[in-house]
Amino acid sequence: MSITVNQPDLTVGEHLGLLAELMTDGGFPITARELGESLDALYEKWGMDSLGHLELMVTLSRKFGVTISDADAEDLRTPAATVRFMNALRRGDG
Amino acid sequence: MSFRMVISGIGAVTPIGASTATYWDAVRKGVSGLGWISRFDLTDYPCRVGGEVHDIDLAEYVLPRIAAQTDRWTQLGLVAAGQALEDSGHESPGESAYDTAVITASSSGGNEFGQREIHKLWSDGPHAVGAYQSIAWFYAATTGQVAIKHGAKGPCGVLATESAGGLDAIGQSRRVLRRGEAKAVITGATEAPISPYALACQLRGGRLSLSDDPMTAYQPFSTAAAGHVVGEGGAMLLVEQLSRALDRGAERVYAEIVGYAATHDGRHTTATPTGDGLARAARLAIADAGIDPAEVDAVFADGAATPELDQAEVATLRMVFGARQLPICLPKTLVGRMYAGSPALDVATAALALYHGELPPSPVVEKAPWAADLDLVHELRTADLRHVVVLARGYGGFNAAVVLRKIEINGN
Repeated sequence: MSITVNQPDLTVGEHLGLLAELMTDGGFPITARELGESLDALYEKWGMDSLGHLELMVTLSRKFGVTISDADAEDLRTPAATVRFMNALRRGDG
Repeated sequence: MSFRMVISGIGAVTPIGASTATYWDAVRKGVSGLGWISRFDLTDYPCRVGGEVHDIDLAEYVLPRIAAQTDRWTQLGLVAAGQALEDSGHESPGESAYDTAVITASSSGGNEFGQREIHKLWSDGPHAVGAYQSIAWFYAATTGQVAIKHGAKGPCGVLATESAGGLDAIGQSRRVLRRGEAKAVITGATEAPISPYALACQLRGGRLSLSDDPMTAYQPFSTAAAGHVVGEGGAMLLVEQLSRALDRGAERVYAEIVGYAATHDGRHTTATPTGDGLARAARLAIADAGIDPAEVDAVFADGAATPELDQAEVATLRMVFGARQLPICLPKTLVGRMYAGSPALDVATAALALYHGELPPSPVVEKAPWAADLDLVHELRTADLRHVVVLARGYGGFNAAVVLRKIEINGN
């Protein structure tokens, strides 16, 4: 994946906060703390269906100014995987 | 037993009341819900007045994940549908999920939602368009969301016949019940046409009032008629066979729907309207009801509020009812024209009028010379009503009429 990072200075904690914010805006209200307690849970745990997951991927794409391929999105089924992905974007080695 | 379709539940979300009870209380008092539009900045718009739904917090009724994937029009529809079901006592899903159908109408779908996504498209490219755009903007979204929420698996659909759609949805519901394809139908329409893109589109149509005064902006059949005022909201109804309503002990039955018909003008929208098509729809609906025009006690008019369209509607009334003066109700002048939502709300209001024996008023206007003999209802009027006709016209030449009858059981 070739990416351009436009938000390189976020910490992991801030990534969780951002993810919680995006999920809340997408209709799945949650806090960063709650996400942190269930890092390896599938998004389905919060009632997110495939369309909801796709919406999250689109908003992540917009937020970071990157294109997330369908294959990458398939790997981002948990908060942990998503935060690792966001970290990779931050480091510019995605 | 003969087929008799009745309204046993009403949900109304309007600028003068976000429940059936509050709406009926306000409409019978002639309370106006028109005011300056506040939902967005109107600096570059030549119109100011609209009917906005204020006294409801949609977040109390619509789950966050549903709110994120629906337009305001669908959210208003979910509220109204929930009210109609609760009012009726009909359970969905009941014994069988296939017993309940959902048939709504929509004139332009989820305008505001679509506008936001189109903005993302042109500013950030196609990858930025949200996933929910695929299900939020299109005409059937409200039908789908209502069906999902209430587990309704009967034949569902949507009518896209602009402002006539609210009546056409009821007509289609009648077919579904008559054919035995469902035992109850959640039907009607809501709209949310007060958003930047939607309002711009309506302005191009040339039928919006540009008056700044909420009290005089929408005056059908008057010398001052200069277009309609846009409104948001509408009504949903629970319709079923009378025998079923009685068998399950429905708390109340508002009215019977005994006639429906539709026509199309079949010519360009810029052609001078004649009223012929609407007259034919009204005649057919009255014939469908098995009555004579002389037996109609009141009409809920379309009330487009442009001289040409108003004169055409007066011509319709004369073609169908002759020189007879019969009460003309225009409750939409209190809430604005809700496109497909308006005729649905008119049917709800007509059903309430039959149920309570009262015709609701609309503001006094100085009638145009060609409308001088119309009996416009300007004060709450107690009336021994038996049959009421609701008329509707949709942009593009759509005409529809529905006939309602006061509920009579075993001759009472």
